[in-house]
Amino acid sequence: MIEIPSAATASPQYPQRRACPYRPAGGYERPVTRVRLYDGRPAWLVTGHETARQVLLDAATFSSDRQHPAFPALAARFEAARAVRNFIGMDPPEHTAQRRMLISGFTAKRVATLRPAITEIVDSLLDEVVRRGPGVDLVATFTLPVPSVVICRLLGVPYADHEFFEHQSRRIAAGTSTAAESADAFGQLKRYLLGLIETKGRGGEDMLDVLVDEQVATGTVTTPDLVDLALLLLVAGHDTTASTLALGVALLLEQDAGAVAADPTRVGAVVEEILRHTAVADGVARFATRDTEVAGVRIAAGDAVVVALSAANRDPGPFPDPDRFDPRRGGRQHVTFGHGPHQCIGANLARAELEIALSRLFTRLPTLALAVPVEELGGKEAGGVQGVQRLPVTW
Amino acid sequence: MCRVSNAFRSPGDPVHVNVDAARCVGAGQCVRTDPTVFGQSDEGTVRLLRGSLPGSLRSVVTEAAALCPAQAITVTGTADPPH
Repeated sequence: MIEIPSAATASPQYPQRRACPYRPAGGYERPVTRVRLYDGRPAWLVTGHETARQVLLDAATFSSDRQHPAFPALAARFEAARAVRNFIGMDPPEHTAQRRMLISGFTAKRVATLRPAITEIVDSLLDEVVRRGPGVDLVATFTLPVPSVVICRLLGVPYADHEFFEHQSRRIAAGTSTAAESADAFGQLKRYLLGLIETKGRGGEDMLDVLVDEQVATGTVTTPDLVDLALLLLVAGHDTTASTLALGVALLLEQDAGAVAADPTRVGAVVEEILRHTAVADGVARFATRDTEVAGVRIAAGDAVVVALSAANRDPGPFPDPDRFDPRRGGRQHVTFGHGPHQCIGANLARAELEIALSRLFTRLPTLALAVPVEELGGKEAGGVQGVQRLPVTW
Repeated sequence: MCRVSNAFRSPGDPVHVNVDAARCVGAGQCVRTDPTVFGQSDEGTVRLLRGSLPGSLRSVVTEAAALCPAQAITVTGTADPPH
Protein backbone atom coordinates (compact mmCIF):
# COMPACT_ATOMS: atom_id res chain seq x y z
CA MET A 1 0.00 0.00 0.00
CA ILE A 2 1.33 3.41 -0.86
CA GLU A 3 0.94 6.03 1.78
CA ILE A 4 0.50 9.51 0.42
CA PRO A 5 1.53 12.08 2.99
CA SER A 6 -0.69 15.11 3.33
CA ALA A 7 0.77 18.42 2.23
CA ALA A 8 1.18 19.55 5.82
CA THR A 9 3.21 16.56 7.00
CA ALA A 10 5.32 16.55 3.82
CA SER A 11 6.57 20.09 4.43
CA PRO A 12 9.78 20.36 6.43
CA GLN A 13 9.75 21.93 9.87
CA TYR A 14 10.95 25.50 10.32
CA PRO A 15 13.03 26.50 12.18
CA GLN A 16 15.39 23.57 12.86
CA ARG A 17 18.31 23.35 15.24
CA ARG A 18 21.68 24.30 13.78
CA ALA A 19 24.16 21.41 13.82
CA CYS A 20 26.99 23.93 13.73
CA PRO A 21 26.28 27.18 15.61
CA TYR A 22 27.21 29.35 12.64
CA ARG A 23 25.63 27.31 9.85
CA PRO A 24 21.89 27.61 9.20
CA ALA A 25 20.00 24.33 9.36
CA GLY A 26 17.60 22.94 6.85
CA GLY A 27 18.79 23.06 3.27
CA TYR A 28 15.40 24.48 2.29
CA GLU A 29 14.50 24.88 -1.36
CA ARG A 30 15.06 28.24 -3.04
CA PRO A 31 13.69 30.83 -3.51
CA VAL A 32 10.34 30.01 -1.81
CA THR A 33 9.23 26.78 -0.21
CA ARG A 34 6.43 25.44 1.96
CA VAL A 35 7.28 24.73 5.61
CA ARG A 36 5.48 23.85 8.84
CA LEU A 37 5.86 26.06 11.91
CA TYR A 38 6.24 24.83 15.51
CA ASP A 39 2.47 24.89 16.03
CA GLY A 40 1.79 22.99 12.82
CA ARG A 41 0.76 26.07 10.88
CA PRO A 42 1.88 26.01 7.24
CA ALA A 43 4.02 28.93 6.07
CA TRP A 44 5.90 30.14 3.01
CA LEU A 45 9.63 30.23 3.67
CA VAL A 46 11.51 32.76 1.56
CA THR A 47 15.11 31.63 1.11
CA GLY A 48 16.24 33.41 -2.08
CA HIS A 49 18.25 36.59 -1.50
CA GLU A 50 16.50 38.83 -4.05
CA THR A 51 13.09 37.41 -3.12
CA ALA A 52 13.80 38.06 0.56
CA ARG A 53 14.67 41.68 -0.17
CA GLN A 54 11.53 42.06 -2.27
CA VAL A 55 9.26 40.71 0.50
CA LEU A 56 10.95 42.78 3.21
CA LEU A 57 10.63 45.96 1.15
CA ASP A 58 6.89 45.52 0.62
CA ALA A 59 5.49 46.27 4.06
CA ALA A 60 2.02 46.93 2.62
CA THR A 61 1.68 43.37 1.28
CA PHE A 62 3.68 41.63 4.03
CA SER A 63 2.54 42.89 7.40
CA SER A 64 4.57 42.94 10.63
CA ASP A 65 1.51 43.61 12.80
CA ARG A 66 2.14 41.23 15.70
CA GLN A 67 -1.27 41.87 17.18
CA HIS A 68 -3.10 40.68 14.08
CA PRO A 69 -4.37 37.08 14.51
CA ALA A 70 -2.83 36.11 11.15
CA PHE A 71 0.68 37.08 12.31
CA PRO A 72 2.65 33.83 12.68
CA ALA A 73 4.73 32.82 15.69
CA LEU A 74 8.06 31.09 14.91
CA ALA A 75 8.31 29.58 18.40
CA ALA A 76 6.14 29.48 21.51
CA ARG A 77 8.04 32.40 22.98
CA PHE A 78 6.79 34.71 20.23
CA GLU A 79 3.20 34.29 21.43
CA ALA A 80 4.12 36.46 24.43
CA ALA A 81 5.56 39.18 22.20
CA ARG A 82 2.09 39.87 20.81
CA ALA A 83 1.30 41.84 23.97
CA VAL A 84 4.36 44.07 23.65
CA ARG A 85 3.69 47.07 21.44
CA ASN A 86 6.68 48.53 19.69
CA PHE A 87 7.64 49.41 16.13
CA ILE A 88 9.17 46.02 15.28
CA GLY A 89 5.60 44.66 15.36
CA MET A 90 3.83 47.56 13.66
CA ASP A 91 3.14 48.58 10.06
CA PRO A 92 3.52 52.04 8.55
CA PRO A 93 2.37 54.72 9.32
CA GLU A 94 2.36 53.76 13.03
CA HIS A 95 5.75 52.10 12.60
CA THR A 96 7.19 55.12 10.82
CA ALA A 97 6.12 57.54 13.57
CA GLN A 98 7.71 55.46 16.32
CA ARG A 99 10.89 54.74 14.38
CA ARG A 100 11.26 58.43 13.54
CA MET A 101 11.51 59.24 17.26
CA LEU A 102 14.58 57.00 17.54
CA ILE A 103 16.66 57.39 14.41
CA SER A 104 18.41 60.55 15.60
CA GLY A 105 19.93 58.42 18.38
CA PHE A 106 21.48 55.98 15.90
CA THR A 107 22.89 58.23 13.16
CA ALA A 108 26.36 57.66 11.74
CA LYS A 109 27.52 60.79 13.54
CA ARG A 110 26.13 59.59 16.88
CA VAL A 111 27.72 56.14 16.46
CA ALA A 112 31.05 57.80 15.53
CA THR A 113 30.98 59.83 18.75
CA LEU A 114 30.43 56.60 20.72
CA ARG A 115 33.52 54.87 19.29
CA PRO A 116 36.04 56.19 21.85
CA ALA A 117 33.73 55.13 24.70
CA ILE A 118 33.20 51.69 23.13
CA THR A 119 36.99 51.29 22.75
CA GLU A 120 37.47 52.19 26.40
CA ILE A 121 34.79 49.69 27.49
CA VAL A 122 36.35 46.95 25.32
CA ASP A 123 39.86 47.60 26.63
CA SER A 124 38.87 47.59 30.27
CA LEU A 125 36.99 44.30 29.78
CA LEU A 126 40.06 42.87 28.03
CA ASP A 127 42.21 43.92 30.99
CA GLU A 128 40.04 41.66 33.14
CA VAL A 129 40.17 38.82 30.57
CA VAL A 130 43.98 38.99 30.62
CA ARG A 131 44.02 39.16 34.41
CA ARG A 132 41.92 35.99 34.67
CA GLY A 133 44.24 34.24 32.24
CA PRO A 134 43.96 31.30 29.84
CA GLY A 135 40.87 29.13 30.35
CA VAL A 136 38.61 32.18 30.79
CA ASP A 137 35.11 32.06 29.26
CA LEU A 138 34.78 34.93 26.79
CA VAL A 139 30.96 34.81 26.80
CA ALA A 140 30.80 35.75 30.47
CA THR A 141 33.74 38.17 30.46
CA PHE A 142 33.72 39.79 27.05
CA THR A 143 31.20 38.98 24.31
CA LEU A 144 28.13 39.55 26.50
CA PRO A 145 29.43 42.47 28.61
CA VAL A 146 30.62 44.58 25.64
CA PRO A 147 27.18 45.22 24.08
CA SER A 148 25.51 45.14 27.49
CA VAL A 149 27.66 47.97 28.87
CA VAL A 150 27.30 49.93 25.62
CA ILE A 151 23.48 49.76 25.50
CA CYS A 152 23.31 50.69 29.19
CA ARG A 153 25.37 53.83 28.56
CA LEU A 154 23.35 54.72 25.47
CA LEU A 155 19.91 54.25 27.02
CA GLY A 156 20.80 55.30 30.55
CA VAL A 157 20.16 51.93 32.20
CA PRO A 158 22.35 51.20 35.28
CA TYR A 159 24.82 48.44 34.36
CA ALA A 160 24.62 47.33 38.00
CA ASP A 161 21.29 45.73 36.99
CA HIS A 162 22.85 43.74 34.15
CA GLU A 163 22.43 40.28 35.68
CA PHE A 164 18.70 40.90 36.01
CA PHE A 165 18.06 42.20 32.50
CA GLU A 166 20.47 39.78 30.81
CA HIS A 167 18.72 36.87 32.52
CA GLN A 168 15.26 38.13 31.56
CA SER A 169 16.44 38.79 27.99
CA ARG A 170 17.67 35.21 27.73
CA ARG A 171 14.25 34.00 28.92
CA ILE A 172 12.66 36.05 26.14
CA ALA A 173 15.10 35.09 23.39
CA ALA A 174 15.74 31.38 24.08
CA GLY A 175 14.16 29.01 21.58
CA THR A 176 13.14 26.73 24.47
CA SER A 177 11.16 29.38 26.38
CA THR A 178 7.47 28.69 26.72
CA ALA A 179 4.90 31.41 26.10
CA ALA A 180 4.39 31.68 29.87
CA GLU A 181 8.12 32.01 30.64
CA SER A 182 8.58 34.59 27.94
CA ALA A 183 5.48 36.53 29.12
CA ASP A 184 6.78 36.50 32.69
CA ALA A 185 10.18 37.82 31.55
CA PHE A 186 8.46 40.57 29.55
CA GLY A 187 6.39 41.47 32.63
CA GLN A 188 9.45 41.70 34.88
CA LEU A 189 11.36 43.84 32.39
CA LYS A 190 8.35 46.12 31.89
CA ARG A 191 8.03 46.72 35.64
CA TYR A 192 11.75 47.40 35.90
CA LEU A 193 11.77 49.81 32.96
CA LEU A 194 8.64 51.64 34.15
CA GLY A 195 10.38 52.34 37.46
CA LEU A 196 13.48 53.52 35.61
CA ILE A 197 11.59 55.72 33.14
CA GLU A 198 9.81 57.46 36.01
CA THR A 199 13.23 58.78 37.08
CA LYS A 200 14.17 59.93 33.55
CA GLY A 201 13.92 63.27 31.77
CA ARG A 202 14.51 66.60 33.47
CA GLY A 203 17.23 67.61 31.05
CA GLY A 204 19.27 64.40 31.28
CA GLU A 205 21.32 63.41 28.25
CA ASP A 206 20.91 59.68 27.75
CA MET A 207 18.42 58.30 25.23
CA LEU A 208 15.65 57.55 27.73
CA ASP A 209 16.01 61.06 29.25
CA VAL A 210 15.67 62.62 25.81
CA LEU A 211 12.68 60.43 24.89
CA VAL A 212 10.90 61.37 28.13
CA ASP A 213 11.64 65.10 27.73
CA GLU A 214 10.92 65.35 24.03
CA GLN A 215 8.35 62.65 23.27
CA VAL A 216 6.44 61.78 26.44
CA ALA A 217 6.29 65.41 27.61
CA THR A 218 4.83 66.50 24.25
CA GLY A 219 2.37 63.61 24.10
CA THR A 220 3.95 61.93 21.05
CA VAL A 221 4.28 58.69 23.00
CA THR A 222 2.68 57.48 26.22
CA THR A 223 4.75 56.18 29.14
CA PRO A 224 3.49 52.56 28.67
CA ASP A 225 4.45 52.75 24.97
CA LEU A 226 7.88 54.09 25.90
CA VAL A 227 8.31 51.16 28.30
CA ASP A 228 7.62 48.71 25.45
CA LEU A 229 10.00 50.63 23.22
CA ALA A 230 12.78 50.73 25.83
CA LEU A 231 12.31 46.99 26.31
CA LEU A 232 13.00 46.38 22.62
CA LEU A 233 16.07 48.62 22.62
CA LEU A 234 17.48 47.00 25.75
CA VAL A 235 16.90 43.37 24.74
CA ALA A 236 17.64 43.67 21.01
CA GLY A 237 20.44 46.11 21.83
CA HIS A 238 22.63 43.59 23.57
CA ASP A 239 21.50 40.02 22.96
CA THR A 240 21.94 39.86 19.18
CA THR A 241 25.28 41.71 19.18
CA ALA A 242 26.56 39.55 22.04
CA SER A 243 25.63 36.38 20.13
CA THR A 244 27.18 37.64 16.88
CA LEU A 245 30.39 38.63 18.66
CA ALA A 246 30.73 35.21 20.32
CA LEU A 247 30.03 33.36 17.07
CA GLY A 248 32.39 35.70 15.24
CA VAL A 249 35.24 34.95 17.65
CA ALA A 250 34.59 31.20 17.39
CA LEU A 251 34.44 31.40 13.60
CA LEU A 252 37.66 33.43 13.30
CA LEU A 253 39.48 31.03 15.63
CA GLU A 254 38.21 28.00 13.78
CA GLN A 255 39.30 29.60 10.48
CA ASP A 256 42.62 30.77 11.95
CA ALA A 257 41.71 34.25 10.70
CA GLY A 258 42.24 36.34 13.83
CA ALA A 259 45.11 38.28 12.24
CA VAL A 260 42.73 39.68 9.60
CA ALA A 261 40.43 41.01 12.32
CA ALA A 262 43.41 42.68 14.03
CA ASP A 263 44.05 44.69 10.87
CA PRO A 264 42.05 47.95 11.19
CA THR A 265 41.84 48.29 7.39
CA ARG A 266 40.23 44.86 7.04
CA VAL A 267 38.13 44.45 10.16
CA GLY A 268 35.11 46.13 8.53
CA ALA A 269 35.01 43.50 5.79
CA VAL A 270 35.59 40.73 8.37
CA VAL A 271 32.58 41.96 10.34
CA GLU A 272 30.33 41.95 7.25
CA GLU A 273 31.35 38.37 6.43
CA ILE A 274 30.76 37.33 10.06
CA LEU A 275 27.33 38.96 9.90
CA ARG A 276 26.50 37.17 6.65
CA HIS A 277 27.76 33.88 7.96
CA THR A 278 26.24 33.86 11.44
CA ALA A 279 22.86 35.70 11.02
CA VAL A 280 21.79 35.09 14.61
CA ALA A 281 18.14 35.92 13.92
CA ASP A 282 17.41 33.02 11.60
CA GLY A 283 14.14 34.33 10.23
CA VAL A 284 11.52 37.05 10.53
CA ALA A 285 7.76 36.60 10.28
CA ARG A 286 5.16 38.40 8.17
CA PHE A 287 1.66 37.66 6.90
CA ALA A 288 0.19 38.47 3.51
CA THR A 289 -2.40 41.26 3.59
CA ARG A 290 -3.71 40.37 0.11
CA ASP A 291 -3.44 37.69 -2.54
CA THR A 292 -0.05 38.07 -4.19
CA GLU A 293 2.70 36.25 -6.04
CA VAL A 294 6.34 35.90 -5.03
CA ALA A 295 8.92 34.35 -7.36
CA GLY A 296 6.04 32.68 -9.25
CA VAL A 297 4.46 31.27 -6.08
CA ARG A 298 0.89 32.31 -5.33
CA ILE A 299 0.38 33.48 -1.77
CA ALA A 300 -3.11 34.04 -0.38
CA ALA A 301 -4.23 36.84 1.93
CA GLY A 302 -3.67 35.72 5.52
CA ASP A 303 -0.88 33.24 4.67
CA ALA A 304 2.13 33.11 6.98
CA VAL A 305 5.37 34.19 5.31
CA VAL A 306 8.78 33.74 6.93
CA VAL A 307 11.88 35.37 5.50
CA ALA A 308 14.83 33.09 6.27
CA LEU A 309 17.59 35.67 6.67
CA SER A 310 20.31 33.11 7.33
CA ALA A 311 19.29 31.02 4.30
CA ALA A 312 19.12 34.10 2.03
CA ASN A 313 22.67 34.90 3.12
CA ARG A 314 23.74 31.53 1.69
CA ASP A 315 22.15 32.11 -1.72
CA PRO A 316 24.88 31.12 -4.20
CA GLY A 317 23.65 33.79 -6.67
CA PRO A 318 24.97 36.87 -4.88
CA PHE A 319 27.37 34.85 -2.69
CA PRO A 320 29.34 32.32 -4.79
CA ASP A 321 30.54 29.32 -2.75
CA PRO A 322 28.26 30.62 0.04
CA ASP A 323 29.41 28.29 2.82
CA ARG A 324 32.99 29.47 2.51
CA PHE A 325 34.01 32.11 5.04
CA ASP A 326 35.74 34.74 2.94
CA PRO A 327 36.39 38.17 4.48
CA ARG A 328 37.36 39.46 1.05
CA ARG A 329 33.67 39.48 0.01
CA GLY A 330 33.23 42.50 2.23
CA GLY A 331 29.89 43.76 0.90
CA ARG A 332 26.79 44.70 2.85
CA GLN A 333 24.34 42.86 0.59
CA HIS A 334 23.57 40.30 3.29
CA VAL A 335 20.17 40.56 4.98
CA THR A 336 21.30 39.82 8.55
CA PHE A 337 19.86 43.17 9.64
CA GLY A 338 16.80 42.64 7.43
CA HIS A 339 15.80 45.01 4.65
CA GLY A 340 12.96 47.45 4.07
CA PRO A 341 11.45 49.79 6.66
CA HIS A 342 12.13 47.36 9.52
CA GLN A 343 15.87 47.05 8.86
CA CYS A 344 17.67 46.99 12.21
CA ILE A 345 17.88 50.52 13.59
CA GLY A 346 21.00 49.65 15.56
CA ALA A 347 22.90 48.06 12.66
CA ASN A 348 25.65 50.65 12.54
CA LEU A 349 26.04 50.62 16.32
CA ALA A 350 26.35 46.82 16.19
CA ARG A 351 28.95 47.10 13.41
CA ALA A 352 30.99 49.59 15.45
CA GLU A 353 30.88 47.33 18.52
CA LEU A 354 31.87 44.24 16.52
CA GLU A 355 34.70 46.04 14.71
CA ILE A 356 36.17 47.49 17.88
CA ALA A 357 35.74 44.35 19.99
CA LEU A 358 37.26 42.02 17.38
CA SER A 359 40.16 44.27 16.42
CA ARG A 360 41.10 44.94 20.04
CA LEU A 361 40.71 41.28 21.06
CA PHE A 362 42.95 39.94 18.30
CA THR A 363 45.45 42.79 18.62
CA ARG A 364 45.93 42.19 22.34
CA LEU A 365 45.74 38.40 22.20
CA PRO A 366 47.18 37.41 18.80
CA THR A 367 47.75 33.81 19.88
CA LEU A 368 44.13 33.34 21.02
CA ALA A 369 42.76 29.80 20.51
CA LEU A 370 39.64 27.84 21.47
CA ALA A 371 40.19 25.76 24.61
CA VAL A 372 37.61 23.19 23.43
CA PRO A 373 36.39 22.11 19.96
CA VAL A 374 33.63 24.24 18.38
CA GLU A 375 31.18 21.35 18.85
CA GLU A 376 31.52 21.72 22.63
CA LEU A 377 30.59 25.42 22.75
CA GLY A 378 26.92 24.52 23.08
CA GLY A 379 24.71 26.01 20.38
CA LYS A 380 21.23 27.44 20.96
CA GLU A 381 17.83 25.89 20.34
CA ALA A 382 15.96 26.58 17.10
CA GLY A 383 13.55 29.50 17.26
CA GLY A 384 15.82 31.56 19.48
CA VAL A 385 18.63 33.99 18.85
CA GLN A 386 21.53 31.79 17.73
CA GLY A 387 24.87 31.76 19.53
CA VAL A 388 27.02 29.72 21.86
CA GLN A 389 26.66 29.01 25.57
CA ARG A 390 30.35 29.40 26.39
CA LEU A 391 33.61 30.32 24.76
CA PRO A 392 36.59 29.08 26.79
CA VAL A 393 39.86 30.28 25.28
CA THR A 394 43.59 30.05 25.79
CA TRP A 395 46.55 32.07 24.48
CA MET B 1 12.00 48.23 -15.94
CA CYS B 2 14.04 48.10 -19.12
CA ARG B 3 17.71 47.84 -18.40
CA VAL B 4 19.36 48.93 -21.64
CA SER B 5 22.97 49.87 -21.62
CA ASN B 6 23.70 53.07 -23.44
CA ALA B 7 26.86 52.93 -25.46
CA PHE B 8 26.69 56.66 -26.14
CA ARG B 9 26.92 57.67 -22.50
CA SER B 10 30.48 57.74 -21.28
CA PRO B 11 31.22 56.74 -17.67
CA GLY B 12 32.40 60.29 -17.08
CA ASP B 13 28.94 61.87 -17.47
CA PRO B 14 27.58 63.46 -14.28
CA VAL B 15 25.34 61.42 -12.03
CA HIS B 16 22.17 62.89 -10.58
CA VAL B 17 20.97 61.61 -7.25
CA ASN B 18 17.65 62.28 -5.56
CA VAL B 19 16.93 61.47 -1.95
CA ASP B 20 13.49 61.25 -0.38
CA ALA B 21 13.69 62.11 3.32
CA ALA B 22 10.02 61.22 3.74
CA ARG B 23 10.72 57.60 2.78
CA CYS B 24 13.99 57.41 4.74
CA VAL B 25 14.06 55.07 7.75
CA GLY B 26 17.40 56.29 9.05
CA ALA B 27 19.30 53.02 8.60
CA GLY B 28 22.40 55.00 7.61
CA GLN B 29 23.47 52.59 4.86
CA CYS B 30 24.10 55.50 2.47
CA VAL B 31 26.31 57.40 4.91
CA ARG B 32 28.31 54.24 5.40
CA THR B 33 28.65 53.88 1.63
CA ASP B 34 29.95 57.43 1.08
CA PRO B 35 29.86 60.05 3.84
CA THR B 36 30.99 62.75 1.38
CA VAL B 37 27.82 62.34 -0.68
CA PHE B 38 25.22 61.35 1.90
CA GLY B 39 24.64 62.77 5.35
CA GLN B 40 21.92 62.67 7.99
CA SER B 41 19.94 65.56 9.40
CA ASP B 42 19.74 66.05 13.16
CA GLU B 43 16.47 64.11 12.97
CA GLY B 44 18.37 61.21 11.41
CA THR B 45 16.96 61.29 7.88
CA VAL B 46 18.99 61.37 4.68
CA ARG B 47 20.53 64.56 3.34
CA LEU B 48 22.39 65.00 0.08
CA LEU B 49 25.66 66.80 0.75
CA ARG B 50 26.49 67.50 -2.89
CA GLY B 51 24.31 68.28 -5.89
CA SER B 52 25.58 67.04 -9.22
CA LEU B 53 28.19 64.34 -8.91
CA PRO B 54 31.02 63.31 -11.22
CA GLY B 55 30.59 60.08 -13.17
CA SER B 56 33.39 58.53 -11.15
CA LEU B 57 30.94 58.28 -8.23
CA ARG B 58 28.33 56.39 -10.27
CA SER B 59 29.11 52.97 -8.85
CA VAL B 60 29.19 54.31 -5.30
CA VAL B 61 25.79 56.03 -5.47
CA THR B 62 24.28 53.09 -7.34
CA GLU B 63 25.46 50.83 -4.51
CA ALA B 64 23.96 53.22 -1.94
CA ALA B 65 20.64 53.14 -3.80
CA ALA B 66 20.67 49.33 -3.92
CA LEU B 67 21.50 49.02 -0.22
CA CYS B 68 18.95 51.59 0.95
CA PRO B 69 16.28 49.60 2.81
CA ALA B 70 13.62 52.23 2.12
CA GLN B 71 14.23 52.88 -1.60
CA ALA B 72 14.77 56.52 -0.69
CA ILE B 73 17.64 57.05 -3.13
CA THR B 74 17.21 57.29 -6.90
CA VAL B 75 20.04 57.69 -9.34
CA THR B 76 19.51 59.21 -12.77
CA GLY B 77 21.90 60.04 -15.55
CA THR B 78 23.44 56.61 -15.34
CA ALA B 79 23.64 54.04 -18.07
CA ASP B 80 22.11 51.39 -15.87
CA PRO B 81 19.55 52.81 -13.45
CA PRO B 82 18.73 50.84 -10.33
CA HIS B 83 15.37 49.15 -10.53
